Amino acid sequence: MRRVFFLLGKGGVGKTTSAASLALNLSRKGFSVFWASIDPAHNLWDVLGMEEEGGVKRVEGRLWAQEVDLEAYIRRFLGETTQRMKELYRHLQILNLEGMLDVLRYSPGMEESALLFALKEILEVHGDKDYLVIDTPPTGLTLKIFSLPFSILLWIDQLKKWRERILDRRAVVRSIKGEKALGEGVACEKGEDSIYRELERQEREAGVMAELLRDGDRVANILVMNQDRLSFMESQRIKVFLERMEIPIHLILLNKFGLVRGREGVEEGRVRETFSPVPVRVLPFVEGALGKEELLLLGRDWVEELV
Amino acid sequence: MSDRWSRLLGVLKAFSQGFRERAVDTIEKELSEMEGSFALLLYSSLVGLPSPPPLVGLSLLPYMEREISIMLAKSRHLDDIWALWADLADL
Repeated sequence: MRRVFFLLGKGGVGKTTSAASLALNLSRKGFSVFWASIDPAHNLWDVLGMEEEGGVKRVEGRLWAQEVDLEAYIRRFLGETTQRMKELYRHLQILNLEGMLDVLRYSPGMEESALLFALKEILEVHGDKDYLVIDTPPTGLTLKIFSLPFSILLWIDQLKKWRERILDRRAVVRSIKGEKALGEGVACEKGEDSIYRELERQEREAGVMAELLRDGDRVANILVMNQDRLSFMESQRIKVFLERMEIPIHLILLNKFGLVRGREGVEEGRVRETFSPVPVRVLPFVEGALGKEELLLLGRDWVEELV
Repeated sequence: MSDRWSRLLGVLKAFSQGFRERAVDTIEKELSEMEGSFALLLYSSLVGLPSPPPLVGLSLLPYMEREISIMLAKSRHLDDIWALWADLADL
């Protein structure tokens, strides 16, 4: 895999259209491309004028696309957990674990966790493609997904320290009171402790994602914005947020240029100045739905710079 | 003489054993507090406190039987907090 492209921005600025343009242009250059939308309210197939389908579908040549089914990922993630619980908590067979799924599904933070899970899988399964193009949900959810690996790492760091203290004390009790003091199957060593091992596994996975997001050679974040004041202000917030997490922005697409006029519009020069040194490319406003040829034309100038 | 020495040795051993057991009792209580708190830390959203991302809490849930049992036992005895303190102080 050469690179992963994330298209970020406020809702309605044209992320999916820009992603379509990027994916089609890369594919026409002969590269294998996987284009995925992780936006729960996706319209990938609508942009292409194709019938909505579940799973992966070939768009043309070496271009494949998929709208990620968030609900399916949440079900799978929770399903795997309940299955493991069933295997380990055998005496709790009477407990309605399936019923838990309905409650857990609506827990805070579940959506971004499932999307991160989906993202990890996309990277693993489609890592053989030359390029991955990821169309993201509007700002709030995307930034939560991006910050999740870092937040997981912070928590795990503390949890591991806490766990090490527990294991230390267990070892002291066992050494003085004998093998049976703590009960059967209670671990005293990091390597034997399932919780510590699981924390290490989570740490490895979150570490890989965090490292990837910060790696400007493997990941390129493309911020799509319009000329209107709200879009401009939200893009500034995205910039600040990503800078705080040391995640670089590779390119700014000033999309639908010319649509907003007068005082509500932000001048191109101000956009360039605000986001400098990140390059800004201007995409003119085109009325109506775009066909494949128009989408190709839209990305003709800037896609070249990305490969 | 040797009888006296062996008796003294016995007394010292008993003291040593007593101190060791007392020290282990304290460590055991601390351990149980830490195990209960570990569960509370992971699932603190249940009581309205900040908790780790659900990905972490749920992945650990299958292995948390012992810690959750301790946490629940502690919450059951919260109304008898003086008894717990008395136990800790060995009164």
